[in-house]
Amino acid sequence: MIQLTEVSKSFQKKLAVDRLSFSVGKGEVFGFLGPNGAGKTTTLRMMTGLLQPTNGEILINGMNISLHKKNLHAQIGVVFELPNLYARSSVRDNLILFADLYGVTSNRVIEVMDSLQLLERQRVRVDSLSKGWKQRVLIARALLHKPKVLFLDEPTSGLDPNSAALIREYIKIIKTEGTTIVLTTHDMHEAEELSDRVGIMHAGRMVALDNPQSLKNDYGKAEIETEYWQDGEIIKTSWPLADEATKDHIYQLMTSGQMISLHSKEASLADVFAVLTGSELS
Amino acid sequence: MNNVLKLTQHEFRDLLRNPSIIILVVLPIFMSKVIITVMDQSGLNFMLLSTWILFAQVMVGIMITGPGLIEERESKTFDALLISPLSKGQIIVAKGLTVLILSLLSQTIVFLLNYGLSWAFWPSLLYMILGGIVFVEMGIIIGFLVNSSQNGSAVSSAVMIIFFLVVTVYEALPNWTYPFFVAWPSIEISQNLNSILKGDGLLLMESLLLPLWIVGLSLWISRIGEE
Repeated sequence: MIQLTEVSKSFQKKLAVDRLSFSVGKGEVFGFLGPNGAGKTTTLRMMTGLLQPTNGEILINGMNISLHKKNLHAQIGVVFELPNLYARSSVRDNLILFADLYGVTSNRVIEVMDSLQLLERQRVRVDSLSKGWKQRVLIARALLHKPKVLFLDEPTSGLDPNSAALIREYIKIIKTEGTTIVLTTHDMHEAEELSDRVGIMHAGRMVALDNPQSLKNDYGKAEIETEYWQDGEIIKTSWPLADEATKDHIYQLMTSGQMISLHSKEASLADVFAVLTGSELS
Repeated sequence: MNNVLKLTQHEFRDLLRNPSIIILVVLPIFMSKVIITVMDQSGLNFMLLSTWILFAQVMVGIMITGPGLIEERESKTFDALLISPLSKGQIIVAKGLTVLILSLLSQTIVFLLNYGLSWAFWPSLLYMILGGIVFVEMGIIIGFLVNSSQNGSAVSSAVMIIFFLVVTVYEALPNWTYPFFVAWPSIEISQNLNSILKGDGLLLMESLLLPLWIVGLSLWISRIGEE
């Protein structure tokens, strides 16, 4: 569905994206991870035709985005990181404008508003909505024309947990309808929950690409987390699960009565990220 | 074309929801009536109708288009339009057309309020349209080249004042300076309007230079769009 081949982007002399090559299959949810400045948004903007790659080519549905921009724009939807809505217009007016431009019927506008529980607020001016509601309007706008590919740039960034959960649930519903989804996020749990495959970008390059479980197997390490008494103080320590010495440590703490708590800890995408980029992410 | 009109319609409604836009449209009307009345009563031949029509052109054309476009770029609503079925050119035409309509509305009311409906209105309308286009195009260029709203308002104000002030001062300068000033679109517009209102008809060179400005500015906008 989406194919990037040796895509690079430079701004003046600074290389923002460096020879990126990967593909996203039809109906797949592809999570893009990376710290700020890694090149995720630049890549997303190139994939949506808002930026021209310096080198390489991007094919969506077999068509080059640089050459068939308008044809492909009819097949993609984009939820931007910023709530880029007409603030002085109502929810309905914002959606009606784009429905008119895409030649979508008003019934479809009502259907999309209904699916995102926006009907009751359709007459409300966008500038009086909270960020969570604005995000729903952004998603509604991106889905009006039933896109084959949906790009989501930080879809739950800055949202309260309830709104974020609602958006995530909605993304899962879109996925079941067969829409190909590319999302960027800083939230490792979100990436793990939603993505079929995850690509981790660092300094403009793709440093890892696989499904979340394989990445955790390859780069993460499972550990035993313990809390125990030592010289009147509580000590917290983690030991590798696979290490021979770990069982001796634990046996000694348990038999001496020092042990307070013991937990197994699976490797997470955050651990993978830390290993690959040398920094922790939220 | 249909999509351009749909966006124009939306832009028009959106602009009219903004009180500061209404002020920019109404201000030239209000100022022209007050100052022309005062000038008439004091017998001074200064700040004529042509000056106020030009003021409406530069005020509405530059001050609405420039900062408006910068605001759209900052809030990324421009990006949302770019990934819609509209082309870059169609978006620019729709935005320019919206402001041009507001500019013509303001200029027409300035004319009718101070001069009444006469035969002179129809040839004047040509220069209202041409001047309106020139200053909307300047606003578009400012909107694309300047990166922040604050800078955009400052640059728009400076450009507006320069083009307006030159009309109010050039007549006090020696005649030999005229060939230099005639290259300014604001001088071309005000000279033609003055000539029409005096019953002398259109001025050839001043009229021919205006389409050149329009073409030149259009090419500049197109080049910025490509970049």
